[in-house]
Amino acid sequence: MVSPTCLSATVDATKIVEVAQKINSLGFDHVKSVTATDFLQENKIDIVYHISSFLNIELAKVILELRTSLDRQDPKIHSLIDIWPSAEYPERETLDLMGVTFDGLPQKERLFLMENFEGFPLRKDFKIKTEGIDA
Amino acid sequence: MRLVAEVDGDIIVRFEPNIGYVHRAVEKIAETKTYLQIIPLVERPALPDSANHNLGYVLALEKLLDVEVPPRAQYLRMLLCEMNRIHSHLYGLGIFGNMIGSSTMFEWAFQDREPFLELAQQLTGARLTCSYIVPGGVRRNLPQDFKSNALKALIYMEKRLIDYNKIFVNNPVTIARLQGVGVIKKTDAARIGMVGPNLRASGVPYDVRKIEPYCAYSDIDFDAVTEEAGDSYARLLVRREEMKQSIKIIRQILDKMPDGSYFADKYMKLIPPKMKQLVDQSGILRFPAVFSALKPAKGEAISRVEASRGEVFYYIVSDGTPQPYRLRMITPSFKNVIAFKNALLGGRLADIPAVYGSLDYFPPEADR
Repeated sequence: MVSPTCLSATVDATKIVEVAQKINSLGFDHVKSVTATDFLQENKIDIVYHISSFLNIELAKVILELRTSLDRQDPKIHSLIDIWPSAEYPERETLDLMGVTFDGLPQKERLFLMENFEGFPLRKDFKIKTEGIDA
Repeated sequence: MRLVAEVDGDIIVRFEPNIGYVHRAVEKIAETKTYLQIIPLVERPALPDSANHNLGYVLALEKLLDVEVPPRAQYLRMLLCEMNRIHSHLYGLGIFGNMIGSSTMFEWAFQDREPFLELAQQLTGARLTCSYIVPGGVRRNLPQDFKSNALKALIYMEKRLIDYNKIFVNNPVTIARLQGVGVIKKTDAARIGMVGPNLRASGVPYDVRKIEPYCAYSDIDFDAVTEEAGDSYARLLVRREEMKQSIKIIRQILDKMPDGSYFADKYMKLIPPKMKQLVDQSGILRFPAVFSALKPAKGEAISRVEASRGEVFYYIVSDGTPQPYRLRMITPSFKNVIAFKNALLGGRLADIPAVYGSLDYFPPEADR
């Protein structure tokens, strides 16, 4: 419990589908965002799903965070698009920019970046190549 | 944006929007900038709607900074946001008209943005990317003759909305092109996570200004506009009504505008006395030195704001340094991409422009 309108649940990555199904059955009908944060020193990538409701006006006032941690070397998690189709594009974005693999996500190609792009820019060890006057 | 349609005759059996052509890596760049520098960064993706994106970011930041915003600043924030809403809907309406062949609607809507851009300039000094909303308040006080100019623009806009009905909204050609086209049912709209006018056109009364009122929206009398049909025409009607609601809101803001400071005391007293004199005379803020490297508390904050195209969501992770550790920005157009897949299934190839226009999709906003 973070505040009256923001609830937080941290789960093991293997249990995420099970927990998501329970949350969904309570009436939380959509995912607002899927965020991955890279923690280089702790060798982990944290995933946060921000979940809420459109159809239930009381639940709409609440944003629920579903959190889990993944191993940075092989960040893998089961996709939640079967439960919340609204997670599709944020998950694809996370795959593209952070390199987190979502099992069950039908499209594995990059969403924003070009196909031959190397690396995952949102990771903390990604080197930004500068151009122009800074180079 | 590239659109890929798989067809059977001219019936669409699969539709795939391919986005990313205007991706600018806002989230990555934000990790290298100070908190104040991020304001112009986050408002760039949504040019016609910059104030709402600016506001969402600042609201999340203020939670970490623990700063109280004076009432006058809350009203000034709402004022610019609602002006942006009218302006953004006009922009969308113009493009929409053009897409289904009404170049008059395009010309008219784009011309009628002008009074609101002029007002924005008078209030903030800039037409589009105003960077008006800063932690603790706003950058400028209300100019003296602003109210009379604003009221003139509102009266003009009300007249123009009637003209739009005659030439476009009630036009039999428009109705024939839009009614029953690209229908998204209420439950589907919620399930796929659409936002904003598109969601409300499917009968879901979700408006952040009502659900979780920010600024002073709880003091303002307005309706969250909904339609039941969920088709392209309903989305057009919702936007037209929202412009009327915004006019109503701006009138109330101008009437109720509280007196007092437009910038938080906590920061105002950090401005050196000589500069403070200048600030008081001109009504234009000079930032205190602390703004060059704001250090919010270590922690996380989220915010949601009803922007013109729908809910914009921010999530900031701060590690106590002058740069955010992670900034997450979910824009309404990004949430609405999925609607293309849904709305066009079973539709005809010729309906693509009508549905595209009705969703008011803005590629730079989606790609960030």
